[in-house]
Amino acid sequence: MDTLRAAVRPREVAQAIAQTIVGQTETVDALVLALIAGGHVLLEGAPGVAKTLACRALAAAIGGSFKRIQFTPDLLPSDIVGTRIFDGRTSEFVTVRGPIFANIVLADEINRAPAKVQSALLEGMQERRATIGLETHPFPAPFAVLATMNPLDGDGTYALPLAQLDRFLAKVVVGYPTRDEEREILNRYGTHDVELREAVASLDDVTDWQRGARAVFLDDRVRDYIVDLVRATRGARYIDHGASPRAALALATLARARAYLDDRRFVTPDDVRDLAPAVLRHRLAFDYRLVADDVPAERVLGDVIASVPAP
Amino acid sequence: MARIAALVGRLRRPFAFAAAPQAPRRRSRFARAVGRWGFAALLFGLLAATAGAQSYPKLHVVALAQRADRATVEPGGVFHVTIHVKVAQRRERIDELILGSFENCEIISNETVHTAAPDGTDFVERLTVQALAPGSATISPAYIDAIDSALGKPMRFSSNAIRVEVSGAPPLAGFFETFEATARRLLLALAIVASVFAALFVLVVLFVRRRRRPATPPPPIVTVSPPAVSVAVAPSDRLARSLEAYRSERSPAALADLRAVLFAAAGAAVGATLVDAMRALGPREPNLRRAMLAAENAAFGPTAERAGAGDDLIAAVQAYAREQAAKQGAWTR
Repeated sequence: MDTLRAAVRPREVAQAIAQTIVGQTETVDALVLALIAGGHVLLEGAPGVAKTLACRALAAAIGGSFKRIQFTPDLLPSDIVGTRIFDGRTSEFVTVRGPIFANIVLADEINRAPAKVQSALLEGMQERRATIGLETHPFPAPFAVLATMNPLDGDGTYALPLAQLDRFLAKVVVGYPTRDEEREILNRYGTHDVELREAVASLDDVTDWQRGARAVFLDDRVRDYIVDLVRATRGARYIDHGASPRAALALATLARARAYLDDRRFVTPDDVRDLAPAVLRHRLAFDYRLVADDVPAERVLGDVIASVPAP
Repeated sequence: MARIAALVGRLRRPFAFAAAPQAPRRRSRFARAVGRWGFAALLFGLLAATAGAQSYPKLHVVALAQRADRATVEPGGVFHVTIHVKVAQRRERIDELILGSFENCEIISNETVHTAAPDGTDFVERLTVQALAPGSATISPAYIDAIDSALGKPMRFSSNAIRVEVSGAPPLAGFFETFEATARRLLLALAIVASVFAALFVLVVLFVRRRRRPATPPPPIVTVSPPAVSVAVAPSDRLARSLEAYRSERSPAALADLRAVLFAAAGAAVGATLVDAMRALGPREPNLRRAMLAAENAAFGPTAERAGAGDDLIAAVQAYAREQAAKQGAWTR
């Protein structure tokens, strides 16, 4: 196990981000976990709660390239993936790579672009490569898409279908900071620009973390617990469509990453239970009774998770 | 201008051909007049239909359903009808919803709630309805006339109909039954309270008499065989037994039992996780915390490392047990 340990531990990256972001511990941990697990994260929160800053801080901390794509209704797939243009000097077509070719890609307000553009991004997320013209180009490793959604402005948005949401490893709800945290934000950034801690770890470290997390032990009873949790979402009250087997895989991957982040060699039921809301919340389709009875979706999910006894 | 005046004059006198002298020409004029009037009527009809359809809003109705919260209601009784409308657009209001006819019932009040969802807007109209005479109350389907934004055609989206049986005695007749039932419940509650007070009184009297009674000689010792009843096991005994069972047989079942005993000692419920148990325990009992952590390692750690984790668990539980024995002076092993 020690041979799989990188020189820099992922917790140091989380601590480096925490020096920039005041509070938002769950968000910071989720970003680092997604990086270790090699997955993509959907961040939902009101404007101005440091979603974008957290993503920039993550990219800076691992010394990776960072690109931001602001999704708008007139965005085209080629604006993301890239295109081939004619170079007048050489009289040849040359490939211009789009902003998706980066280690950390921030897809800001992903639901503001039409389905065609969303599909281009999500296909790239799945395949980790893009085809421009006749050539296929792999994305740099590590690669993570951090997409944001604003739940408040519904006008002019295109809802992401469940099949596309399913490709995100986790969905994190970024809440407002506490009163003390808000005061600390004023103290820290009231007169100074935001400073990012750069290159706390290297891209090779991240690759080592990903390899190390895959070696974390997952006991059969914890495996059964994951399956029971995912299956409990199917047919539960207020839930029209439950989570897919991909959710079970995501939960296991993220739980391994959490154990690795906490310097543990094995996954515990607590890892699974704590991460279940983030993995499952965007994979469920609720029926109309949820609205009719005015029941919060998070409470339904919480009840489902609580109904499955931990091993 | 002259042609327009002539055309107006013709339209004013559509049957002017009747005075015309020549028969073949008369047929021709008749045919033209019929054609002219027919065309005008067709044009008018088309314009009216287009204008009517264009006044409809563009909507895509995803769901339109209504349901009642009761299947049977007494005459004069109240029930609720919930109409759920889901449209794919972002809307603040749904003025286009036309309610069905309410037969043998009438609406007392209504309220509308709308919620913006990622894929549209949900409207929930909640009607409070009062049933009238015995029989059945029917509510015909609610509907929305709109140009379907998905198809681009005018459509009528209809819900289901609802039928509620109105049966039983009217509220005035049921009043006496309700009164009787309430009185019966009240009497029962009074009886229970009186019984509790009587029992307390008896206990107090017995206690006072027992204290006043002079010391009596001890009763003669009678040797009888002990009854076969289960004896409650003290927590320390349970821990000792579980530890012994795990030490003699390092099976998953014995480990699960020992872990459950430790969690119970921390105050956690069945099915709790380590974090639950730690939270229930708080900062006290560091040895119990160590034992629980060791149990987690032994239960879920890598298979190759479980023997060592088991040894650690036994040592941690023994340390905790010794500490408990020192506190209580009752540890037997």
